[in-house]
Amino acid sequence: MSYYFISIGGSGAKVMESLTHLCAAGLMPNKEKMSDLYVMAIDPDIGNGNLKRSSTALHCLNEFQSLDIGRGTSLFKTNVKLSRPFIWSPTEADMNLDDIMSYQAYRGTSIGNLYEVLYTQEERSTMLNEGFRGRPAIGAAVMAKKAGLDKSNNLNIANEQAWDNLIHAIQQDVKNGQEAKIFLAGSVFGGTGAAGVPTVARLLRSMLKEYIDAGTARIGGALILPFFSFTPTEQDKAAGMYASSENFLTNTKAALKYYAMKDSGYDAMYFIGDSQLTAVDKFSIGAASQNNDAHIVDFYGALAALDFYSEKADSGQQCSYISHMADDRFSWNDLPDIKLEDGGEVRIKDAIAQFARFIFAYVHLVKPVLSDLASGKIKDYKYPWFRDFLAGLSIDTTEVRSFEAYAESFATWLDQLEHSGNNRRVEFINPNAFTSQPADVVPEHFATLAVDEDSKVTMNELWHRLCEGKLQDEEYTRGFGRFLRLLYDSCAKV
Amino acid sequence: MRKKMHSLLVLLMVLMGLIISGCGDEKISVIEIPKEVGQSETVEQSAPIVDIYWDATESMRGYTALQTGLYRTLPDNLGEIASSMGETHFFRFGEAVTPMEGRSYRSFSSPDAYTELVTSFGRVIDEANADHLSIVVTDLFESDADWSNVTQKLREKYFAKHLGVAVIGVKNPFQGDIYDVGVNAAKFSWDSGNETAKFRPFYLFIMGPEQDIKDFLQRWQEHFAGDAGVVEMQYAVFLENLGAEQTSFPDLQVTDSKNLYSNESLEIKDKRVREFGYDSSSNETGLTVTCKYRPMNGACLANMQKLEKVMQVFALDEESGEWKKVDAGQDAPQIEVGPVDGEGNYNATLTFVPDQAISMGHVNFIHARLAPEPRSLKLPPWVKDWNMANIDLDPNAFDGSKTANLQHILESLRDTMLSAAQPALVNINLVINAR
Amino acid sequence: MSRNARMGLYMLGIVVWMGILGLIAYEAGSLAAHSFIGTGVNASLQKWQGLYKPLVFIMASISALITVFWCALTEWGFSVQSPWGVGKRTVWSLMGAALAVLSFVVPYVYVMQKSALIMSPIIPVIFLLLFVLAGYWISTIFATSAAYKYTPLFSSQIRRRKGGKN
Repeated sequence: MSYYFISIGGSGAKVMESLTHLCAAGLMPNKEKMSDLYVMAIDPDIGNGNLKRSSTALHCLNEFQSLDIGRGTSLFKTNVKLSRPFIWSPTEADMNLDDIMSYQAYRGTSIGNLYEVLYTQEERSTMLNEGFRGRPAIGAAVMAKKAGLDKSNNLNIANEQAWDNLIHAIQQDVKNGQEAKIFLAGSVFGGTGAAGVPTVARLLRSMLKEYIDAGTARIGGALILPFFSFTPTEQDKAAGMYASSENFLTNTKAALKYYAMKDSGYDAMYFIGDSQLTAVDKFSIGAASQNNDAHIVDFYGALAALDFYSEKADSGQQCSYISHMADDRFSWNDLPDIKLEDGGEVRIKDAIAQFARFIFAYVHLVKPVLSDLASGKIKDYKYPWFRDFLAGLSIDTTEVRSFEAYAESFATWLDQLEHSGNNRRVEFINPNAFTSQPADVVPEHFATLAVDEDSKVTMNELWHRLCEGKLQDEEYTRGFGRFLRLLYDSCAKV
Repeated sequence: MRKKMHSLLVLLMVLMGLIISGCGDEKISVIEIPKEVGQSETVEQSAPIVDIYWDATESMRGYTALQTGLYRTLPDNLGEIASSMGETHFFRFGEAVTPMEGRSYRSFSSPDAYTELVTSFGRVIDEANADHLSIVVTDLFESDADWSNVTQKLREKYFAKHLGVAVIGVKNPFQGDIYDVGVNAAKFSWDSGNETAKFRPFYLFIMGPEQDIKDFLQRWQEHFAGDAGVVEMQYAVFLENLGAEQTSFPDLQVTDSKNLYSNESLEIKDKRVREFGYDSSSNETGLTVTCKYRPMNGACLANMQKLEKVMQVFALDEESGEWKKVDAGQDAPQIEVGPVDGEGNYNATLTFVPDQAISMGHVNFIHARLAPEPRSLKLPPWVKDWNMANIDLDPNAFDGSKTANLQHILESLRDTMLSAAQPALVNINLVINAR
Repeated sequence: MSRNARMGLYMLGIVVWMGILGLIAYEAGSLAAHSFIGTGVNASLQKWQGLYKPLVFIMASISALITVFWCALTEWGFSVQSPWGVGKRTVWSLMGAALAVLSFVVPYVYVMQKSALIMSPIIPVIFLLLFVLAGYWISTIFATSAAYKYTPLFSSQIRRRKGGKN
């Protein structure tokens, strides 16, 4: 099985962030190291803060996943491949709608007149470097302009490196007998998402028609419904065209109507929203300043991707519904188990709890002393795990640095997630048990990091396990990965 | 991991086994002095039985004639002293030995008791029990021929068995006849009156275990302490240890040692033997003991400048239980004697190198003794004064205040003791467990 | 086998090991005594051994107690909450030093109680070599909980390192 994820716009990027962490935690349904997750981002706003944050975690994971952590573990079991280039923008730099649509060529013509009617002057002249400003119409036009009809009269995007690589990868996997599952995530109420979600799906269906008809490729999508609101200041309003949260619901209604009536191009669609809109503290029209915290909706979006990846092709048409039992909280019991390729199941709670312990154990116990141990400033007899597993190794490597950066991003994501409930508690990881920026854990609460669970893996117990150094896989582990494997296994609950 | 634990456990068990097998009690052997060493067996000290043989011949009557003197009260005194030691029996003898009932021995205070014609000392020796303390009251008027027979009997019955003989001589008033003197069996009359110079000696001839003899002599001296200076008494003692003190362990004090330590790995009941261990078998080993030569009253005097040093080493054959002599030649243990101080104290030092002098792998018995050269032992000086030379040569030379052939008699006792026993000033008996 | 059970076995092993060392100390002391107990009538080797044996038992017990206590500390006593302050070599050294001091103090205090026992400086040296070096040091090298397994000096050279293939 091959897995593909395409994030569309800012909301898609946030789903991608959640999926990155769930993938690292080993929640993908594949067997270890036998499947790849190919990731691509579509966003005209290349400097988007959400995209930057989520792609940082993804890029880190892409760097350190080569560490030899051995077999028989779900940790880093899915190989992440990044699209080259990672971000595809339907626009070029410093272009407005008029430029893209080549308005000057059609000015005075009927097409040009129609164009003038459909788009306001502001819409036509605003630079699109920071996205489509919450205007699906702009996005749709831009996307459609990029795609064209090929010789067979099928939609295609030609001469775009990212798309060429994506299609080539899918073709290769299918030819090798693998089924390709492509999942898209984006909002239906924004600009890029609203435009891109239906367009990209149709584009893919056209470009992969042969495989889709053969059943060797499937397309799913997480369609994010409104879950946040914001209020621009007067100053923000004066700065130019901006997205307006008041239009979100209207846009959503229109979008949903479209999906209901038209062939969406998706084999599976996941609609995810929140009845309570989270107020965004700082409004941003785009770019780096648009950096919204992780949200439970993103988490559900990632879970939707996992569900899509794990569903059987012959599962038939079904309509599923997911919610949370208590109005005032999200808990582990609200989350489904993930079905694995081999028929097994994994509990999200177990995987994330162990992974969280793993990350926080590293930042608390290992990271503070690692470089001093490696340089000899600290005597290593005090740290048997260092002497047994890391002595003599160079730890100033890209992999190690990437892992430590990833750990920080994971802690930040988790922290934001825990506080994203918007008057509802998110009871996954005990928020009082850890901090982010910098990431750290309260040692006394280490064992009870996961809510409603006493793993009995106290910091002291973890220390003992590390020093005992019992590896489940001696043969295929090596170097720093060997140590990470030990650390991860030691975080398994008693 | 499991294999390693298993190997470790096996190793531990083997180690434990080795240690335990090395520990524990050694085979206990009861060690006794080798017979070749010639020392008496230790005997449980119990109350002795005292047999008193009274010479009832007519020659003895004269001691009772006068009212003064110790002889008249001797039966009571002797009975009292003997009874304080243990069971006492009285016998009268002449030619035959006759037991006396009850207190009939008191009759010896009276002249009427002396009716026998022939003195048969030899018969007394024959009938005496060597385990008892035998005391013969007599005037010791014996001929050479008679006495050589007695000497032979004493050798076999007493000296050869490491028993002793002592003689007490007492000068006593005498008025009467002395019969059967010399080869011609002449008769002489003697009246000492109250002249002490003319008092005639009678003797107590004491035979038996050395310790009983010493005990009797001590009681006798204490009993008659009041008569000191009034009654002339002399002593001659013929004991294997020559009357010296601190002649063997446990009386010997170890004042210095080298490469030796006290050991009790073997069962040794004989207190005259001590067990030692050595630290290094190749180093010189030494033991210095303090000895004391202060001979008791009457003992033959040894010339400390002329001492024989006897050294014997034996190894125990555990299978047969017998001691086998070890001949180390030049490497045999050596004994050196230090000078004697005014108190009679002197040191004797035994030295040897274990792996040269003893038999390694065996229990060894080292016997070292200091013995006087035979010719150097001197009788007490009073013997010469009390001696009357052979009467047969000159009957006119008869002197009733002396005893005929006394010197010869006592010299023969001395010589018999020297030849039959192994008299020594010091006996050092060591056991070294070299197993 | 659980960690607790394993440490229990190690403690049992320590007791057994100290017992073996006690036997060795007894034999070594007895051998050494040849050179200093002398030839006095009341100073035989066997009498000396009779007085020496309880002393050896006391020292072996003290050594076992201290060693077991160290192991108990490493398994159940010390608690790690942060990567700082995890070095316990000072504690280990102090306990070993205390045992070394006791190797000298205990025999001489014992002799004050049992004056018949002739003492020599070789005896505390034997105790030092056996109970402190062979006993405490070696035992702690092998029996210390994994969390502090390299705390005893030279333990990292002796004790097998898990991991390895770096």
